[in-house]
Amino acid sequence: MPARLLRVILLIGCTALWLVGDTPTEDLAWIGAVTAAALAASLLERNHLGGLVGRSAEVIVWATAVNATGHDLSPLLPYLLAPVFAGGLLARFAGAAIAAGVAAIALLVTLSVPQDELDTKDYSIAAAQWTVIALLGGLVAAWARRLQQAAGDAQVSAYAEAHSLLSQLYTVTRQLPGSLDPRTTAEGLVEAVARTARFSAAAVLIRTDGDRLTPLAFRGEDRLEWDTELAGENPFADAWDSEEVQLRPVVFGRGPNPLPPTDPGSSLVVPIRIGDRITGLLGIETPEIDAYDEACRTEIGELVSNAALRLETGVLFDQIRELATTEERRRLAREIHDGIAQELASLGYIIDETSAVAAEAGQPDIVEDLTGLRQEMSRIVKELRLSIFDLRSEVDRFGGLGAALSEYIRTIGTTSGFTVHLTLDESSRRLPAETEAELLRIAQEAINNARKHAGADNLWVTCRIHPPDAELVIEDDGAGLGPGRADSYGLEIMKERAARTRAMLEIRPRNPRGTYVGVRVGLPGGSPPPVADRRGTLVPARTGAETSAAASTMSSSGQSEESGS
Amino acid sequence: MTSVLLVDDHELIRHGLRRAFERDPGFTVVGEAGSVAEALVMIRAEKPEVVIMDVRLPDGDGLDTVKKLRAAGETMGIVVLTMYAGDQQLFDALEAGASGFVNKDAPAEEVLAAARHAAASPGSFSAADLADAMRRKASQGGPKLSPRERDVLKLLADGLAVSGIAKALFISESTTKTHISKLYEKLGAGNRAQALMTAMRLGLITADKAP
Repeated sequence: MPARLLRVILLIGCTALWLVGDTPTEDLAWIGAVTAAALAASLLERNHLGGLVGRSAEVIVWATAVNATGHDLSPLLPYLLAPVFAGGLLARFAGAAIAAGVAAIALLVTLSVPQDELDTKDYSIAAAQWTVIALLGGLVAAWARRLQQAAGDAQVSAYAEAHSLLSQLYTVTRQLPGSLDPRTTAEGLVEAVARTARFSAAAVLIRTDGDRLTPLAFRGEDRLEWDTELAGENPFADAWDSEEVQLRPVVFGRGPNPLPPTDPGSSLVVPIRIGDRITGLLGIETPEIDAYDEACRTEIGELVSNAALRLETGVLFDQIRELATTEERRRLAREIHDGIAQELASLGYIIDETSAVAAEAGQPDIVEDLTGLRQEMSRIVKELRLSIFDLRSEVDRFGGLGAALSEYIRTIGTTSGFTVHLTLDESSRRLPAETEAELLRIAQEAINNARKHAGADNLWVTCRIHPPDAELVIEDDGAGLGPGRADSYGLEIMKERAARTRAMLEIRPRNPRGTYVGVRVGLPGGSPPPVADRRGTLVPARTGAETSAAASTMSSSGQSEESGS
Repeated sequence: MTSVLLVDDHELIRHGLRRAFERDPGFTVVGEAGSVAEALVMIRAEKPEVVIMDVRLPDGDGLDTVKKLRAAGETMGIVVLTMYAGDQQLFDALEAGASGFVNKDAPAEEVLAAARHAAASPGSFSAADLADAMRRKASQGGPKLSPRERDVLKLLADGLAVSGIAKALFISESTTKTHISKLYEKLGAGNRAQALMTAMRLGLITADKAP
């Protein structure tokens, strides 16, 4: 393409030179001949050999034309640049050299033929100059071509590398004895540490986007309440900054904004590192004094470094999956928004018009039918608008699962027939982004099911988030699970989502009527924390009893948010 | 006759709306635009009294365009038409300076009504769902307390010390302290007195509960 452009530009330039120069009109015929040769050469350049032949012929025609149109004063002299440049671009250094060589030979031939009134010296100098200039141009073109190709190769090799890594990852995820789930890995680490050292509480925290530590596993007290603020003053921040193990003769401080801890005991923070990068921290504490000696710390250090790579890989894998899902959801939202939703909305306007025409024609029956049709159409378009909203809802846009959930419920509340009671109990810590996203989508699905099928008067949504644990309960007092709904699409999707985020999903009829959907992350179904709290904290048994107790607080407590009706 | 410009990248929507406007003797459609650029050119050329503006356009955001148009003049009526759900859309349109807001699931008559309103009073704002949306927004204000924090707040108001609250709720003192500090954080208070004052003002506790 650039070679053709250069030919055109040079031909125009040469014609201009001819116009301004004091040259005879017959020369125009020679310009025409060169143009024809240029055209032929351009066409022949589709393959390598054709290009070589075409350009050689073009150069010979050019040399003959120069010889005939005033030798060193010929307006066609600069045109040599075009075929040599094209040669360099399309056939590299050899292409440029061949075109320039043919030009030199052709010029020598014309020089050797004796002619009248020819200043051989000036002609030789001009011919040599232009041949050299053209050769340089050709070499530059060849060089540019090589650079371009090198860049292309680098890109291809980057893709090849990514491809081989992804194939490996695919194979690995299918063959791993353990799993890639970071939470399972983190729990495994805590379990392994429990066999090595005594602790009253232990947690594995990883850093997610921004400067917050997200707990992946926790064992011990009711809730993880340690002060792990990376910006604050605590052993976690110190371990993060110094990249060193932190051992303290006191237990961890409780956040937020605590006084320095004074309760005697032992606490240990071990950085989880891959190479020279820290990806997370393991923290353990016990009220015993001097519980973690040198040997014990070494052993824990080994356990941590064994788990580090698995943990990080799991976290990365989750992030990639979440990224892919989010992309796909956005694409779907765009597609619905720009496609079927707009088409149906415009059909609605057509119904409006038809209805107006029928009214003018005095046909009330038709108007009545059309009004019903219009209502149905409005309902469908509204459903689509809500689907688009569903697909576009992302936890991070609202700054936390609780906020995203209340925004969602406020929007849904506007279109549903029921009253929504929302109870939020959210810690300032957050769950891993992937878990937040899956939980939001499970909640959306459950709420949507209740809205569409249940015909309920009330919807209770309870959201408790105390990372790494979380619990979501969605209950309605509607028609309940029909025989057809038990294996319906929506429930299937919820099950899949729950399985993906290793959550426990419970769907059952609610007493006295309606449906109960509960999702639990991290809360162990049976096994209570292994160690009693050192200060005699009452650790609630995590059984169904608590859930039903929570449900009754919700409906009676005046603090539930009510929305829509 | 009120002159109207229709801006939407979907021809079927523009077509449907044009027919609806043309049926009404009070309106005349002076043009249709499928993009922000086209809309700006047509507005300059035709100077319509009312513009019906879609939110998502191929070359830009409809609400940004509304802001620009509003900054340039107060007299043009602007009705925002959208397929997106959510109160935030409505409030964004209000903030951008629109005169009306209509969902795309609403019958054409609602678009005409909004256009009539916009022509008569371009500086005010009308939307079918406005009152509900405002109520929802208002009810959301103020801090949200968890049931446990609510219990702790009540006991704080009763004048109990940390140890007393811990005993009453069967939780550890450290947990109680955490609840209290979170409560202070949510209420933006530095001490117990401030927290109780704020809670009272917000109606979270009643006056006779205050110490």
